[in-house]
Amino acid sequence: MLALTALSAVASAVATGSTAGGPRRPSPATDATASNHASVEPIAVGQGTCAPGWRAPSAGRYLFAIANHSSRWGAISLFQWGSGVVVERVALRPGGVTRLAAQLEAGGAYGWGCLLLGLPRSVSAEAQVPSPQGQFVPAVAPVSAAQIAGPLLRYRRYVDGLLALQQHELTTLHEQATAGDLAGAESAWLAAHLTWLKIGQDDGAYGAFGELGRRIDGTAAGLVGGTRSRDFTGFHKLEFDLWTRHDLRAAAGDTTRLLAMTRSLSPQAVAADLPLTLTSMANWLLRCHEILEDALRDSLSANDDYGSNSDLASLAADVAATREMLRLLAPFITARVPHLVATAERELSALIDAINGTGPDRGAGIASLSVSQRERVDAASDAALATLAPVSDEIQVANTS
Amino acid sequence: MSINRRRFLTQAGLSAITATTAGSRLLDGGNAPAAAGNDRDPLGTDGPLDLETLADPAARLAPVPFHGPWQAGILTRPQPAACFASFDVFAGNRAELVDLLRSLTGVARFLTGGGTPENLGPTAPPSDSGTLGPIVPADGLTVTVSVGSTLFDGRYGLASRKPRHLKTMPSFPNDNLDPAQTGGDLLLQICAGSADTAIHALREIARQTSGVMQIRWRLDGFVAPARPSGVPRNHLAFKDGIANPNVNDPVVGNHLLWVTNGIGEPDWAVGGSYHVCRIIKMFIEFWDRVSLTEQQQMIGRYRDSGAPLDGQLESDIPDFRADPHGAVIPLNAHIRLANPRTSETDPSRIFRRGYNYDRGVDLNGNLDMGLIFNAFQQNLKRQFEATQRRLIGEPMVDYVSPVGGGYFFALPGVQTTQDWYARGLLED
Ligand code: HEM
Repeated sequence: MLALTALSAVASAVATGSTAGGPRRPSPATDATASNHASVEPIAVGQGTCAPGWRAPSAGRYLFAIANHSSRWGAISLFQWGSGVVVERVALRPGGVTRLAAQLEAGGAYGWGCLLLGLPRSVSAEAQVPSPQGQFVPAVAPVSAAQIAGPLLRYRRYVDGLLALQQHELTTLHEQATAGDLAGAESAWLAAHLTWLKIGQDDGAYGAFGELGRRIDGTAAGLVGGTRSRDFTGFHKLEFDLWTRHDLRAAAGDTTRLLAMTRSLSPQAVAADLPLTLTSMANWLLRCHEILEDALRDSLSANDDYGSNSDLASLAADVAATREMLRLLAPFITARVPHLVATAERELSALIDAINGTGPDRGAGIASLSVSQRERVDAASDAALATLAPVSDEIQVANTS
Repeated sequence: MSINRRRFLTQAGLSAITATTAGSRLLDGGNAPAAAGNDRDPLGTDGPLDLETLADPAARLAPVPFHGPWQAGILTRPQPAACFASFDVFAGNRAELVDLLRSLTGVARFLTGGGTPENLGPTAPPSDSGTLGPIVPADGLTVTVSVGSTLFDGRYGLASRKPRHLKTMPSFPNDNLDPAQTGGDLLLQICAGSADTAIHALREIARQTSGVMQIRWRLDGFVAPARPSGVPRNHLAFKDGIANPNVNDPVVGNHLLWVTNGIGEPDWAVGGSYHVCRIIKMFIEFWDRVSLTEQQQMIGRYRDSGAPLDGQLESDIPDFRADPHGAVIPLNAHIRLANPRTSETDPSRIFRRGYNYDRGVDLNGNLDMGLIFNAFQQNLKRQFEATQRRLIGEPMVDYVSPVGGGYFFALPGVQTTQDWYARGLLED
């Protein structure tokens, strides 16, 4: 899913900027036939040289013939000069010539990043493609890692606070289950689960907590034996214990296990799971829309309901988590897309209204909603998602190394 | 790049509406009933006949030979329309099961060859539903019959004859299997030149067999036309079906596709093939919110051309060895995990013959569409399961969800006019 996680050290070293997201326009190198290219432009790469004297005389499709004059493996990338966004990238073999097709846009500015294994990265000169009006379109500058570090640290403090609250709520759940109070245990479960969702971590598919996240909040889907599987653990197993099986003994045991798992997410552990790397920052930015994508897929389809009918409450908690992301990133977003935050806020409010319109306590099961109630919630979440999805593409984190 | 997506959408929507209005006016003009020379009230006049819009309505696919060492519908180039139907069998005993397979053979033999259905006289219901007209065209129809492991339970005394690797399809990580659309005793893969031909075949088969087998789940599929050329696209918009082993070469076929003698399988199974059919739902709304670069990194190919990210043409072979760190084709790209192209992994290659499906709307308002992943192989474990295991946790899993299907075994071919499906299995 993540461009960045997919890229190796070589690739990110070659790029002068972030590669997450990348260009919005249809990819240029998709032209199947060489005959469509105006000409073949030679590019030379060697020890200490990176595309000397290269030019971009006009907009259009180019076929570059990249000659690696060194005896080393490597890679070369064509990137947008201002933003560092990589347009195309290709591997180089020792002494080989590699072809690369690319589209250069009018008004754009481009450069090449060359990496030969074992040598420092080198960058070509900038070439500007004239636009018909003779103007150059400035690219949006990427956000520096230092700039984004502040919000990310504040986000960690937000997570730490919620994790502490959740430990407290899970302890209450354990007490109620041991005392044989089903209703008390159920309401403690609801509180603890909503706190977990406000962290912005659903079943871990997009989460920083990986397999542990799945064991904390995954469903039985995909497990051999389904709900009987020993690997079915965490919140949804407890939901199943309480609402479907009314089994408080099982619930007490499962709470103890859940407490142990969440305890290992102590602040230090969270810090280790969310290191300040380019990858983790790009992953984190994706949460702006992926928390809600998750909710749409699991909650609004009722795929993760094991009896509590809390999908709408879960969705509201996901909205809260999304809002926290927006709050932290607002300055960066607004600098690039002025009205996005306000629009998203308005749409998220409309989503909360649609949820509240389904009846008291957000306690109706998805499947029991009337068609128009359900459609209203779906439409409101789709609208918010369409606004939020571009955020992670708009904010490029610069690789300053 | 600061596109305001919402506003863009609104504007695009508006201009689309204007265009349609203009267009429909044109159409109306063209289709207006010729009032001249007709004194009748225009409101009472019929419009012109709604004839087929295709250039050549008579175009039908040629018949695919029914008899052979293996069944049709495997090596046959994927016909445009398909109907996958899984049945549970209720035959009371082995003899009734034999009857079922004999009559299934008879129907399939007739339909795949085409012809005039028997006339049963004016008082009986017609012998054919008639949806393809009075003469049934072959239209490239193939009916490929595969058996599930449940057919080998105690009911028919077949336990000792089960293909070695055949079992219930397990649930893999990220699967979300729904029992109502998983498994079955018998899977029919019905493919044809057009949807009506495939559905007609299913309808004829069902009505002649419904006393002894019932449809457990069913799903229609289609292969899109080339857009604009080359291999057709799936619903992720990527060309799908580009890279397949060259199974028409007998050496490759006998190592990767067909069960042969001497590989530990029962004799009757020679000429058959393990058939994996997985209904894989796609979260296309989510996919459509992802940048093209990210999409291409997940697949490892360019969306528009189908070329691997290190190539220019869809037919180019990715060179992973030249890119050991995944600088160009990420190490976890779908095509790289599915087929690492090493001598160790080559024996695990599978032969894919997939179809797109599209069936309505989900509870959450998303379009319910995806891929009928459909693959044939000599050895379930060495090929499909090894490939599937390599794909566990690939980035694409967030955008897809396997919800049904099953493991089956495609029977050997019906060889002569005397032969019938599964004769080797059922005759002593
Ligand atoms: C919805 C799910 C899937 C989608 C959308 C998908 C899509 C694709 C696409 C676009 C390609 C590249 C084009 C091509 O070579 O045909 C491909 C290749 C391939 N896929 Fe999938 N696929 C899916 C599931 C699977 C599964 C479940 C398997 C096997 C377990 C699989 C195995 C393969 C193989 C073996 C290749 C060929 C790789 C090569 O030889 O280069 N795919 N798939």
